[in-house]
Amino acid sequence: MKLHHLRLTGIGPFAGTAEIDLAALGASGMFLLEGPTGSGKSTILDAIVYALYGQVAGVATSADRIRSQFAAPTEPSIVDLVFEVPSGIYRVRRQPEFQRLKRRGTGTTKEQAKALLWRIGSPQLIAGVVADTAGGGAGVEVIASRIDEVGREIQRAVGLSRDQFTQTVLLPQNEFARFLRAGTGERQAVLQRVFGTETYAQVEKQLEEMRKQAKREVDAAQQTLGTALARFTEATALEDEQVTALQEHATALRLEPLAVRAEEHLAAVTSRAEETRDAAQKAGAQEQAARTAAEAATLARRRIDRRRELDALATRLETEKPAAAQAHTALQRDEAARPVAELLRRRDLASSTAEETIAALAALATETRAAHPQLVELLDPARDLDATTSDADADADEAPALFAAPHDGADAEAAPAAATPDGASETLTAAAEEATGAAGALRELVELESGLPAREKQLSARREALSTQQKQLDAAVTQLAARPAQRTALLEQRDAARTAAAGLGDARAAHRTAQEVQRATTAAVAQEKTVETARTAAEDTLRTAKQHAEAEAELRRRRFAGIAAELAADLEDEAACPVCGALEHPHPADPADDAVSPEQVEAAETQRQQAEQAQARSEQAHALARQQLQQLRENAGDHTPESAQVAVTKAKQAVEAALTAEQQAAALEKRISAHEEETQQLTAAKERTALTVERERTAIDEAARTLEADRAKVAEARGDDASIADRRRAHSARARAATTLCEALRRRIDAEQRAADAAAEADRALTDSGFATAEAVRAAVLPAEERTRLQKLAQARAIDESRLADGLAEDGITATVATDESREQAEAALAAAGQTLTAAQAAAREAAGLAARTEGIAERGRTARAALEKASAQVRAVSESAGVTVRVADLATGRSADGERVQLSTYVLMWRLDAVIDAANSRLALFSGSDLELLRDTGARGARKTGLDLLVLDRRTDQVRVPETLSGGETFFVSLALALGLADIVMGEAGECGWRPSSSTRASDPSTPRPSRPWSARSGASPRAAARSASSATSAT
Amino acid sequence: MVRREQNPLEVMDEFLAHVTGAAPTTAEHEVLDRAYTAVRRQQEAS
Repeated sequence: MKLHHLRLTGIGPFAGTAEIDLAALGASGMFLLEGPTGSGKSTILDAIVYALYGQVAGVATSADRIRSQFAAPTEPSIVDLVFEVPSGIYRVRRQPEFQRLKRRGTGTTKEQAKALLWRIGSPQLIAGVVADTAGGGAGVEVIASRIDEVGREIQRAVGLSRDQFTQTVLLPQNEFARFLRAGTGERQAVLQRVFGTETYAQVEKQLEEMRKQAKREVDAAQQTLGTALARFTEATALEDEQVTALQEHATALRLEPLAVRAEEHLAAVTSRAEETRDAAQKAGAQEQAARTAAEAATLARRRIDRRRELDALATRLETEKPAAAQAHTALQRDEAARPVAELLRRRDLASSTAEETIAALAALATETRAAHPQLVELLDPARDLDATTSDADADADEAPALFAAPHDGADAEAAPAAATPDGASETLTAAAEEATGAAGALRELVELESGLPAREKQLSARREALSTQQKQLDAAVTQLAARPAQRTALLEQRDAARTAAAGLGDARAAHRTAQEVQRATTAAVAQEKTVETARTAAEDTLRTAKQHAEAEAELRRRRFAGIAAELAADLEDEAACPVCGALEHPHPADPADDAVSPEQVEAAETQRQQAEQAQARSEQAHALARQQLQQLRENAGDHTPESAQVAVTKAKQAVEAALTAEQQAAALEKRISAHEEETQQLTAAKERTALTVERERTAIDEAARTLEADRAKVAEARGDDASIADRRRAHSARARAATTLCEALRRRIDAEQRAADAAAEADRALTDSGFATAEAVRAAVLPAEERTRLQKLAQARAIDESRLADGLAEDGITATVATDESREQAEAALAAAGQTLTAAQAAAREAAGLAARTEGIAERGRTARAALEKASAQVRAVSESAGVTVRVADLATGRSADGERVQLSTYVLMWRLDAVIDAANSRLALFSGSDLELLRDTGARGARKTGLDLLVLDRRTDQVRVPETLSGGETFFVSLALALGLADIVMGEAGECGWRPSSSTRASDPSTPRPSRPWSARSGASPRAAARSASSATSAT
Repeated sequence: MVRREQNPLEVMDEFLAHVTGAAPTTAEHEVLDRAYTAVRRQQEAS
């Protein structure tokens, strides 16, 4: 990197603008920044870092400090840097954020930070670019205008981040000696930060973690193995000695012997399980045989008990046989008597119902007789309607009879039909229908009668409306009679208006003529003034022309007067005189004081001609004006402007009057049309009204006739009653009474018929039943409880009989001897078989339990063996993997005893430190005159932290010295050489950057630098001298 | 000579070879690879 130019405005102590021509300073190869504390040395470095990265050099330093405290509050701070890197020449300009005074009002407003980056096409353009404070120009390209874009582009061009830049190119102040004297650990940290090799230290840490993790995994696998072994020994119930032997193999990770021993133990357990299983099977067979013998003994004893039970049942059935036969007979008689008894009950009920209907009919007749005696007479008058039938129990065969005798009542027409019950019913039905028909015939007349008052009122209203319409019709006739006279008047008005409007054209022409005359009179007055002006102008130009003519004539005259002298001026010796031809000119005329030259005459002639031309134009204009005035006067005639105005006014009034008449004629034409249309509408309305009146009159007459006819019909139908409605209600009441009597009569007839039928059926059933009397029948019917009891007894006996038959049919029952002796023998055999079975069952259970236990041990042993194998395999795999991890981790962290005890991170930095030492020694040889040389200490000044320590070879004594033994000056030389060597290597790796400033602020001169001038360069100084100077002054490139 | 542009995993293999005197086995290389991969993930995560 090469810095060309730096311009600061309002930065740090530089309140104004300061420029540093870094290219000029760097031309000598090295320069110092010298100045007292606070003079701005560090600010320059900060400004460079700020220009490149938007931040100042120190990590803990805020970018806010870049703005000068002395800067005007209205002006921004600007850092403008031109630098060159292998990828090109760039100009960057940054403006930090600041609070700017508001341009209007009070207070401040935040001015945002800005950044711009240009690429400069060639080195020849740099001077022009620097001179142009605005930036840009031909060959200069803006490549970024946003802060983030500028940052990215610069980092890409420089190849270093800000941290890398400040840690290498701009090594922090007072860090040289510290780096030199630092131990391996501290130096390693610095080198890692500088060379970005933290990754290897992180890998070391990661490997350490992986080593720990691998150890944990091995421990976990061994623990799992121990657990699996414990489960195996527990499952196989091994002896303590056997367990101890297995545990020793597991602890020592002797996995193969462990597997062999475990397999042997498992095989022994499995063999034991098979033996116990065979024994259990034999015991089971013996148990089954004993069970079969016990079941046979049980069956024999059970048959004996069964046969004894059946014998007892047969004895009880035989004892109960007579009582069962008696109950069977009673149930049979009950079965035969119950239907007959039911028919007798129905006969008695029907007889009672018939008597009730007879009594109800008699009561209804008594009730109806007062209102409708004729209807009651239609019933049988010869019988007592209140009489009752005979007692059914006394004479069940006789039914009630009300119509035994023919009817001889007052209703002669109904008498024959009422001779029988059915005849009376039919007669009453006919009477009801007749009354219903009469009431129905009066239904419409009732409505007609009720509507008569409304119709009369409506008719009266229509007559009044007709009278009103007739009056309207008369008025319309009168109105139409006046319409023709009105139309004639309108026509006359219209014709008059048309006549008045007919003169509109003439009036307009007269108006235009009057206006033209008026304009001519007015123009003539104005033209008279124009003529007068033209006349004056013509006279003036005439005078002027005359004056110029006189002046020209005077000049010509005067020239002619002096022509001799003019000619004499042209005479030459030995040349002929143009007047006399003489070759000698002894007395040439002397020129007069007022002699006129030809040019003067010519100018006067030109003026005269111009005046004459002007006079001619004025005269021409005067003549034209007079001619125009004459024409205007002819157009005006005898009129003056005043009389012309009067004529225009009159003509205008005539035009307006004609226009008004024309509008009136149009309006009247519309009124006439409207009048005629209205007349037509009135005529049509009158005709419609006349037609309506005629029709309404005819309708009213017809309605009146109809109303009168209906009145007569109603009076005839009403008869002697107060109204037709009353008459209709009387018919309806008679119909209802006849219907009620008829229905009561029908109920009585039906009840009497049902009583007779029930009596006949009961008689037939009694005869068919075989019972002698109805009382015998009733006696044979059992009470419900008794019948149920007898039925249950019969059912229980049938079940017992069936059970006895089924029992005797069972296998081996009939052949079984059911004596007490045989039962005792069977009981004894059963007890013996039971004892045998109990013993066999106990033996089988014991054998099966033992087999199950041994099989369980074997099964658990197999499972535990599999788990043990799995755990062993896991231990083997984890141990192998962990071994590699632990070995690599130990090697990387310098713990391994197998190889060289150097850490990975140290190993990586050793190479770079050697390169740094080489670069530093090339500087140190110059600084120290080859007296001192840096070495890397490969010895063991620390345990693992070796490889990065530094030593110094003092060639003056050929002794190797540790840095702590160096003097102050030696320390400075070595530190500076080391720092420069470090910068060489770092920048070489970062892209061969060439700018290598460093800083020290041990300033001694309190005077303020002059920022406006380039910094002085101490050209020609040797590096050693420069270094010495830097040790007591300020800083070096 | 360890170079800046050199693959870190390659550098670590060389380191093992340097301290042990023999080229790293496949298992050793895989351990280094796992460690370096874990570090890169941590760096990317941060």
